Amino acid sequence: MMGLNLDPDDFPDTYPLFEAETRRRVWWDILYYDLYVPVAVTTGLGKG
Amino acid sequence: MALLSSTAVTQKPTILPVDRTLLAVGNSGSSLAVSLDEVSSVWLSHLNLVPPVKLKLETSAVDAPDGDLPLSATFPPISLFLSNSSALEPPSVTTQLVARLPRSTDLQQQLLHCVHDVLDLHPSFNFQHFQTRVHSMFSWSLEAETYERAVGDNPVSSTSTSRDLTITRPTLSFFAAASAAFALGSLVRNTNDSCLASLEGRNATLSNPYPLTDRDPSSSPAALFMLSEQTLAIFERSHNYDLDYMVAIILQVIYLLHEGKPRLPHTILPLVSGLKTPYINDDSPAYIRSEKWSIPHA
Repeated sequence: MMGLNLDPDDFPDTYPLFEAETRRRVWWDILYYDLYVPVAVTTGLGKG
Repeated sequence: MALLSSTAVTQKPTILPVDRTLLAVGNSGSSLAVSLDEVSSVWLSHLNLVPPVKLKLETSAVDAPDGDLPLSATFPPISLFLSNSSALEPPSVTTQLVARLPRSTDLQQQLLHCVHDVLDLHPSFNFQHFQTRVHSMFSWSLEAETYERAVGDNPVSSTSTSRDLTITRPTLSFFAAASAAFALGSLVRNTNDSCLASLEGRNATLSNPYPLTDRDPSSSPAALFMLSEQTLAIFERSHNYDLDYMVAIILQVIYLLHEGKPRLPHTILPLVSGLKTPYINDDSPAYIRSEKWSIPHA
């Protein structure tokens, strides 16, 4: 488990600053595509 | 008969011998059935054509084929992932594998530039950092090739090679991300040259010094995408998940979203599921379970 759903700030000295920010951004990407793609597939919306 | 339906994507339409338009309303949506004759007249009217016009209506394939790439290009051999020295070592990035990517520095720059254009609309990871790592991967490949030539027939393990090189060997997950990025770049470049407009040397570019063909695996979007998928599958079986794995899947999803087919391929759904795999440990989405990251209410 990568724990991407956890805020890196809650775990000081665990992640370097750059990696912590990347984890946040990747997490929000996961959230977006998890919501958007199933809707796009079922409704035939096509391009994102 | 034509069937226009909000649920037609997932349901197989039932062909009814009707000669007039029907509207069916159900719990899951509405369906509109129009006879082909009526569709013909609508199109003829729309195109300002006066009947009688010879008209042949056919159903078109929803998903266009992926080109005519040979299978050997679509599915690179597994030996590319294994070091020549020992079959016991886990799969890793090899120089032969990196050779599957576009080798020309200018072409790499063009494709990465096109990817950057697309990612402006999908802000995600730090692209400058990603680009630097891609260049570093090619530098490693060049250094490793030189080392392998120098060593010649003396068998060396990949670990000893890594020790002797100044540049760190890239991970399989990062290679998968880079392949997906080049696939996306090739796709965008093939469909829209405007992504190169702001690149230096534009005039030289428009003369097409690097024509991308579907038959060249190193510049074919489909072949590069398959390379990324296969690399990720091998990585998943032999390594722990990491951020590059997630970035690779995100780039693959964006590739499928930009593929330009009439509808999204069904393979995008397992990809999105793959995004959730590394952190989910029960059936509920993690963003619902996590209080801190719950969806903000408008």
